[in-house]
Amino acid sequence: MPWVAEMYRLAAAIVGVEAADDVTQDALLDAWRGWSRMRDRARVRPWVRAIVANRAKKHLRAQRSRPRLIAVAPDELFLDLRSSRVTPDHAVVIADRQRLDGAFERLSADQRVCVALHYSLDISVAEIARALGVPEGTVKSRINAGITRMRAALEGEER
Amino acid sequence: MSDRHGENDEALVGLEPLEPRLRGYLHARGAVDVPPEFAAQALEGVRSDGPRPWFFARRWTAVAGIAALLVLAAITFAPGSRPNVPVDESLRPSDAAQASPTATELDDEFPDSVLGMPVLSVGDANALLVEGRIYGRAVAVKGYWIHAMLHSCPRPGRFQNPLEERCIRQDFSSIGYRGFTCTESSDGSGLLCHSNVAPVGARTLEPLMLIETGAKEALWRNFNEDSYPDGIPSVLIVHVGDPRAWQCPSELRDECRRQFVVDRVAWTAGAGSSLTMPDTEVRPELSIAELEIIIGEASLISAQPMLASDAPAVDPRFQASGDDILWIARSLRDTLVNDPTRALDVWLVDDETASARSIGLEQPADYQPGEFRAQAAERVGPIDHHLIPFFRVELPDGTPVQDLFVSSYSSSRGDSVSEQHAGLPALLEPGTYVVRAWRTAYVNRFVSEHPDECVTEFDIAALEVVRLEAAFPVTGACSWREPTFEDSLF
Repeated sequence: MPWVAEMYRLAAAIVGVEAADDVTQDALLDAWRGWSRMRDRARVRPWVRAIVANRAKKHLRAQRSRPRLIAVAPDELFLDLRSSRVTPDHAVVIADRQRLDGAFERLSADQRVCVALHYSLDISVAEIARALGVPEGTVKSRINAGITRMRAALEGEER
Repeated sequence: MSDRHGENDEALVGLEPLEPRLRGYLHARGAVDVPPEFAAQALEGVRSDGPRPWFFARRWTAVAGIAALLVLAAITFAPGSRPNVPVDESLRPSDAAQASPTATELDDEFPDSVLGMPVLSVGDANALLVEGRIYGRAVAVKGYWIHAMLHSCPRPGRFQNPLEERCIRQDFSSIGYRGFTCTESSDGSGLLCHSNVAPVGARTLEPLMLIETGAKEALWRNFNEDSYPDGIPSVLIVHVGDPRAWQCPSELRDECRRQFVVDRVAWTAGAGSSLTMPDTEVRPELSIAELEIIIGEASLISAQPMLASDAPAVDPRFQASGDDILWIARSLRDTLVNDPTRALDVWLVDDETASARSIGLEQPADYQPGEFRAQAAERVGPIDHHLIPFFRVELPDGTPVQDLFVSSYSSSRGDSVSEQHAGLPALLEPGTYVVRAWRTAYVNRFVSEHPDECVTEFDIAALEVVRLEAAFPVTGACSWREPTFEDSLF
């Protein structure tokens, strides 16, 4: 997989596609600047993941202090752009997606990172722990806490 | 040990199972391609100095990677770029497009012929297209590959054929010009960039570099804004009438057929380019030199190794499945004197056995395939989130025809059903087929076991569209039925 694509996917999974460009770009810069210090090529992948995760967390922290814009990824809009047709089914899809987005955004930055790495990019707990430099148990607890929080948010909204 | 959120590491020994609704949602968050607009975003951020980083030196094997590399490479060498500066959204392209401030006239720096083909102007190539003379055939065309600032472009929520690409609009112009201009904002906070349109009198076409384009690395190597501010002088071998047009929605099929696809970067920045081993995830045994022996050294213009199941995504007429490594290559055929076009042959070469077969790129009038699309609906339950619906189309005698994957998009129906939309369709000759569905892991692409699979038979006629849906219960075998949700929305 091309590195940029992997970095972009990870960023999109953590912060959403609307901010993935900025996060990936910043991460690319970080990688560029740090590359000369990267001696162990076997650790490139976890190193890159950590860079993206750190940039994503910085982005999330910065976003907390700003008014939030609601953005839906064009890929998931399910709009017929040629006819501008939006059927009720599409509206249901969009609404559900927004509920799920809202639940995901309730997670802490660390929870988002772990949940996204594991469930969005299919990265093992061990690999996540290696990338983030934390114990595997911490990764598991962040994932479970994140999922529990998402479920609670969804149940609260749909009740 | 506790982290700073107070979560107890020792309290948990495993992960809880995830219901399909959340699984589908979280999977979809990461199942995105690098959008072409990312290249524009990258404009403002990448430093102009420093070492060439490892990820820029890689060669890309996907359109998305190419799109990102386009501008990343451009900015790598762009003087005056500043890191981490915001873009004035009001000055993003299209609406703010301006006339080019500079232009380079086409001169005699281009070769008269490449690979035995006469080199045409952009205007001549467009004229041949209008005359209908190059469908399924190749021409060599000269022009300037413009450093583009790519535009934001929403995508439909369905499988999209690369020929439908509306986001990457790479200009190839008879007259060189600056593709975009960046200036510092008045308050010094960053760069303001806008794209430029081709100068008056320029003829342009918008070729697509795709995964199989040969020697594309030669172009990226010369992506130097300092040396080629008005675009890189290049000669491309291109064709129209690509068979992937059959995978486009019927109302877009003609437009897809008219799309120029780059077979080979034949000459760029003053030098001819040679075919080199593409950088891919697969590790083929055959070398380019061996392929040249198999196919013919003089005529081979592109060669790309891939998993067999990916071959129909490059040429849907090839029916292949599984994870063996195959090459898709294209070669030029001899043609009549004074005809500037060349017929193209497409080759499917088995990397293990070196056996090869070829078909002409031009599709005969009686090629009228049916289109089979498979989608899936999964009941909510504590199932392994790594398992994803997978389909294999076979002949009635069990011969595999094509593997089908669900699209990267999934939706949900309340909390009860996760809907996996159809991905790449199978283009099938009229006849009877068998389709199997099961859940598998994408980690290693395939599993040999087919637990809880379901099988059905279907007939398909010329130009008929057949859609079927596999319904997966929480546990146990799936079953086939008529679709219960739309697989594509357009």
